[in-house]
Amino acid sequence: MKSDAKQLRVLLVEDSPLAAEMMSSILRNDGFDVAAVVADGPAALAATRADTYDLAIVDLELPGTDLVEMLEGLRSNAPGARLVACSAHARGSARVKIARVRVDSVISKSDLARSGQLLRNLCSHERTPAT
Amino acid sequence: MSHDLDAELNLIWQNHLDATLARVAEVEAAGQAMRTGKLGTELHAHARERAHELIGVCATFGRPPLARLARQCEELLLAGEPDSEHGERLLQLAHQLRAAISQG
Repeated sequence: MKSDAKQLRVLLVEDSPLAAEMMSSILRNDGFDVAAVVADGPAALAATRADTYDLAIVDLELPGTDLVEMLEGLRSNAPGARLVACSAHARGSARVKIARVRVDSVISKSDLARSGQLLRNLCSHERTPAT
Repeated sequence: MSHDLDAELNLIWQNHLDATLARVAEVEAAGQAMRTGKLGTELHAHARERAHELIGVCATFGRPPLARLARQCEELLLAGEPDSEHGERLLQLAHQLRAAISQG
């Protein structure tokens, strides 16, 4: 595990327990504090009402979740947190397009293991509010 | 990818291999049941969830060919009326996925 990084608190929103466990392992290996893992939009909104996070990583393929409502709710509940959408799909999918204007970054799941520095950089800069 | 990162990812992958193959087994069971016309609603839904899970897991670990196989399984499980032909194809895909995952 990397020891030089500030332990950024991460909320992971992922419906698959196995994927969540594996993604958490990747993030922890990279020095992140995966403080909470939830499986759907309502649980994500509840988590951000109850606690603070530096970063929320959100699976874009959550079944039964209104993506726009969830992302806007997360932004409202946690204005200081960076939002990152994560997808197994190709970059041009409809949900990626919906997310792109509402989050700080979109990454492919296959890039998660190589995105540690990107995530840290996102968290180290002031967020520019959306206009 | 650095050797360190490669090794870390492989270790995480190996640590979850049994759980991953258990997901494949559920897709295989659905294929078998579909082939013989005995696919119940519950198993069908469960297998669809498992195929979806496998797409994400395989993609996360940089295994696009495996993710594509899992996606083909999911598409078959989402496609209209399950029949023996779909079941045979699903079973083949799930076996291919098992073999590929087992190889690491």
